[in-house]
Amino acid sequence: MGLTPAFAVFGVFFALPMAYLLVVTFWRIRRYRLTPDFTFANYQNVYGDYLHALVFTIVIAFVIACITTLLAFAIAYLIRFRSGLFGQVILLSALATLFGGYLVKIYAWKAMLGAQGSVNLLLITLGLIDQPIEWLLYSPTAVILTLVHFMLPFALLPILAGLRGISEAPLEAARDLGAGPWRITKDIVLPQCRTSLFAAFTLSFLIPAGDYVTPRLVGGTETFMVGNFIENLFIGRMNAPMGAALAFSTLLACALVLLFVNWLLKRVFTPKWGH
Amino acid sequence: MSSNGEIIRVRRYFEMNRRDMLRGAAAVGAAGMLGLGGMGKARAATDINFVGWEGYDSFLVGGGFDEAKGYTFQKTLISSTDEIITKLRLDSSAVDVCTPYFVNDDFLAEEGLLAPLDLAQIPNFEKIHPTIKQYAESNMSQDGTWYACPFTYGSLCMVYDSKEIPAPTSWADLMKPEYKGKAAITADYQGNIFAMARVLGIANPHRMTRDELAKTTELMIDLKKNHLKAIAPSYGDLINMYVNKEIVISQGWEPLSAWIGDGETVKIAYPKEGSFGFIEGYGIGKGSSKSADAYALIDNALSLQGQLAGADLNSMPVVTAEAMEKAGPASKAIYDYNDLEGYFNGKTLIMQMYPLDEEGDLAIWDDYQEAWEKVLKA
Repeated sequence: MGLTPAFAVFGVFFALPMAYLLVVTFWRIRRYRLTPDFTFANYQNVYGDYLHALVFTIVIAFVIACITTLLAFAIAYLIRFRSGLFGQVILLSALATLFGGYLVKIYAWKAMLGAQGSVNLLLITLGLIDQPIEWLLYSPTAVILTLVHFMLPFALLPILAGLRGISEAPLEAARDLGAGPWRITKDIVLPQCRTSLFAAFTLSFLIPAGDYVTPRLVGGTETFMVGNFIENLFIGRMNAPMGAALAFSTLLACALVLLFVNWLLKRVFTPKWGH
Repeated sequence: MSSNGEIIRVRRYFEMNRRDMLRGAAAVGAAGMLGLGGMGKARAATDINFVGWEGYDSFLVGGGFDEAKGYTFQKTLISSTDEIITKLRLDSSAVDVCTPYFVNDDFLAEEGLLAPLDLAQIPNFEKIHPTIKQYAESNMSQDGTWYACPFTYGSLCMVYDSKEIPAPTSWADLMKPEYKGKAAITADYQGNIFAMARVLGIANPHRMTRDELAKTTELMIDLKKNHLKAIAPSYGDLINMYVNKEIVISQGWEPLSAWIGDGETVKIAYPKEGSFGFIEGYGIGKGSSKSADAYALIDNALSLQGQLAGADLNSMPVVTAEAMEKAGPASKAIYDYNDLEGYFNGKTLIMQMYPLDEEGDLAIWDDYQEAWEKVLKA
């Protein structure tokens, strides 16, 4: 009984709309109007016309998630094990970037990466380059940089929570037995925060996979992600069935990637003392 | 205590006695009165649901008309013209004033999404320059009934940095080797398809065969892959690119040069193939309960104060004969009001809606949108 309101909210605001959208994927558009039908043509078109965009999106989101999770782990590790009270300052600094807002961060990177941006000016001043680097902005690099920066605080929190849950006892025992820092990290720390790593990866993978604003603003002519096409199918072409089919295909592809990553993390970071 | 005798901890957030209750009641009463006062004010104002481009509402409210009449604008600003169709389809009665793309007007009227305009309620409609009316009529009216009311016009012309390059004369200049990586276009698919189709010598880019559209798509893909720096998501982004010296040539819009400012040297040019001309109009969503207010606002947009306010604020041109006469020097410097015929039938071309239904080998509207997606995907 206690969970009934939660289930009701979940059902009305998530499950039902999603179910409707799933039904729409089998409908058709006739003269720009939604027409009930039962066809797999939308899915066929998605795999025929948008597979490249889907694969590109999954790859770029995967790269972003890997970089973000690695960086977040490094920062969280520093806060938990290496920096003492200074760790709180690092944590606050990382979380303070959340106040900046999404668009502000995008435009900040635009200002930094442009031909006359601070990055290029710094490199020129240091004498490392003669001409501004053109590919810094309006490129996949810019999309990756911007989204890694945006996702970092979100990935940091679950990993830090996981690291804080690790007891000192096994760490001290390992040290006493002569294990080095890398061995301790690999065999004790990482296995014990595996679920946190997965949560961080999931967050930093799913949000970029669905993003369509960042690639439009800082991506170049070849950085259009699947979100851009879903948006265009719904709004521009008024083709909700194909847009919904592309959205569900993206969901499926994301789920497969996450299942794989979960399997990989389990395989690599299983506690050694369990064997 | 629970039924099974265990002690249950109840967290009490406040203690309330009679005095506190009376104090609370007084506070609630006072807040209620203040609230009612506020509601009274809100009731006096009329909310107008506006769907359109940013800045396009400035003609409607020119001369402080909204404040004088108590209108409050609830704006839904668009990033593409197709969004208006989506909004109208969701509920046209919830759209009091909108600025549909003028080639879509016939389609929207046929779909029953735009209300037929009662011109008796827009007395200033008579002031619209006959040339503007002439070129707007085929798109904005059906069987003598107007579904949108012109308020400004313009074209997707060429823009260039005059300090860096000479004035371009053709859309093909975007593909000159010396401008490689220094050129940009906006995400306006109609304008882009028009420009490249004209480079291929196609007379009417809105009535292309599928073969012609395929060739145009190939040319756009070549432009995108081998020449462009970026596809700007907005004119603001395009301006940033010029200011940051990232581009020297692009597709654009007349007000751009004025928006960049006096210190810049960005200018407009009309290519020999012609620019994609448009006339913007206000429409009223079918079933809007505030159509009387919408008419009053549209009439104000065509008044001298409305026209000049829009022109001053946005550097966009005016459409009434009296406003053309009284327009400031900045407006007259960009727009040659003395040669409107030359503008609409020389510098620019006014297009009709794409075919909606299969018609021989002609490409239909969705084919054009699909072509643009192909360009983005390539």
